[in-house]
Amino acid sequence: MDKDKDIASSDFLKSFKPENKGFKVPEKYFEELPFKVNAGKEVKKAKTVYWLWTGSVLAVCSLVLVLFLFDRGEEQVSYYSETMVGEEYNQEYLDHEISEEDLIDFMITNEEELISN
Amino acid sequence: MNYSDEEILKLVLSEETRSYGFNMLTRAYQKKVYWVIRRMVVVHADTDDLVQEVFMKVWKSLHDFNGESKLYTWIYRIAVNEALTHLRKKKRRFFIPIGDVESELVSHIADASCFDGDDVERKLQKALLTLPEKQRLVFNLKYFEEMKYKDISEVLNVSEGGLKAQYHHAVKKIKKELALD
Repeated sequence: MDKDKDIASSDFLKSFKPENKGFKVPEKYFEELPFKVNAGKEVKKAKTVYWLWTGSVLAVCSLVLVLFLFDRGEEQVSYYSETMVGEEYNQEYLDHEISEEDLIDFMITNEEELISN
Repeated sequence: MNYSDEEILKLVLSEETRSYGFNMLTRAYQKKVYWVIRRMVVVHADTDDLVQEVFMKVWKSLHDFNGESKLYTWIYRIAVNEALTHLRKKKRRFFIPIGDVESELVSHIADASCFDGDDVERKLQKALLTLPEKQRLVFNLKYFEEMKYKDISEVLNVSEGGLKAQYHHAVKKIKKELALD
């Protein structure tokens, strides 16, 4: 019998068997009860929350780190630029060898300053 | 062991046997609910999610079940609503016209991993997807589930006369569609 002709005929719906659904169902699907935690959705939700948290924590940490490094650098630059302005190296001063007497003088001067303060 | 709806209700409504009763209820309705939804949404994974949603809703609202309708028409109503809501969400989510959602469903019918019926079955399912949602639903409940018009009217809250007219139109359109194919 021609299948297409059979489909188009008025008796088709009567002759078609409702049990033959044609939809594929995983094997043993109906052996498990359907009422269980919706694992797929839960996992997806948990993953989204995890990545949102991790992402925001990482973003905040990187921001703090960048600001910290940037600030420190600026502080150091400004410190050196302020203290070293106008100063010149004195070769005679650099070449001068520190003797024991110089050191004792230096220590006595510092001690006197501390006492006077 | 098979229980009647009345026995299942008694078990579920008693505090001591609630879990056991609910297990019996899910066993009794698992396949029915699955097929009502599957024929509407076509894809197994979506059906699986929706079946779980249905039983979760049944579990949560069983204490509100007043027995005015039959247990099975009440469960079918929840299943039907879930399926229709899913299809509407799908249409809204993708901002695509209804026809595109249906052509997506047709593509699943053509996919061997989703549908392994013969040509006749495939053509019938494709023809069904050309029907408006409500008409398709009426056809499925009457033709595949072999439900009485009285029960379908309880599920869909539509008069029996209206259902008969819808079924008649659905059959006419399917025949036309199959003749064109």
